[in-house]
Amino acid sequence: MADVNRGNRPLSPHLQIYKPHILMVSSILIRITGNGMTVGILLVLWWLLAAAAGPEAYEANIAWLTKWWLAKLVWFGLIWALWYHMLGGIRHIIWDEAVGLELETAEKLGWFLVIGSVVGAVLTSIVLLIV
Amino acid sequence: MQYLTDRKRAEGKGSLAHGAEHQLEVTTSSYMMTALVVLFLFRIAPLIGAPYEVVVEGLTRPFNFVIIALFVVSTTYHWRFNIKKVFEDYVPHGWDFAGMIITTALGWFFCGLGLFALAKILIASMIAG
Repeated sequence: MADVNRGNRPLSPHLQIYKPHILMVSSILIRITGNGMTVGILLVLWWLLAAAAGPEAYEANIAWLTKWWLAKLVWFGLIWALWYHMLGGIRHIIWDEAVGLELETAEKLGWFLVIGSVVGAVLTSIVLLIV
Repeated sequence: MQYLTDRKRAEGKGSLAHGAEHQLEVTTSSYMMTALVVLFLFRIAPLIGAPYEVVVEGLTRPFNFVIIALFVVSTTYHWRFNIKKVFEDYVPHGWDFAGMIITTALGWFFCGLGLFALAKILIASMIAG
């Protein structure tokens, strides 16, 4: 009778049960950045549709979409999220090959995601501002 | 038994019985998504917010156009697939299914919107040039 409790099981996340540690936090951040990038899909679509609507419409939309300071902040957050999520995917590939699973190495990989994504996002943003 | 590959031994096992194939699919798509993200950051991101003429000229270059088209298709697919997991994990039974249906429809819609915009940009540039 494995199905007796079907549909009535507790749902994750069980955040209040565990003390935070780097492996847990770095994993949760992959999900947060992934879901957060829903905003990124919408903004890139907005940009493409604005360009499709012609020169005048494009300039009018760009004023909000990329020139506004708050929008710039959102774009920076998205660039960081993209870096973080991508590095998380690379870590997944590495772990899938059964490499780097020792606790010490695994924890280093967690910090690599956090630090690497910030460095990547800052460098990308600087380059994008110059170009 | 030693003549069987690891994959052959894993096929059909597990609670869903298709975990081995799923594993290979997800790994393959991970490599491609990584490449696409890097290409997007190098080739497309610099165009976001650039002047109109620069954007149209940049997006309609063959390589860039393929990159952004693939990016639209694969990110909306990836989004649809993974937002589903949020409903599976956090939303009570019943509502989760409604959420998955809406997410699937929205994902396809976003994909269509992006491809429509790209087609329109391409056609406009062909008429102008």
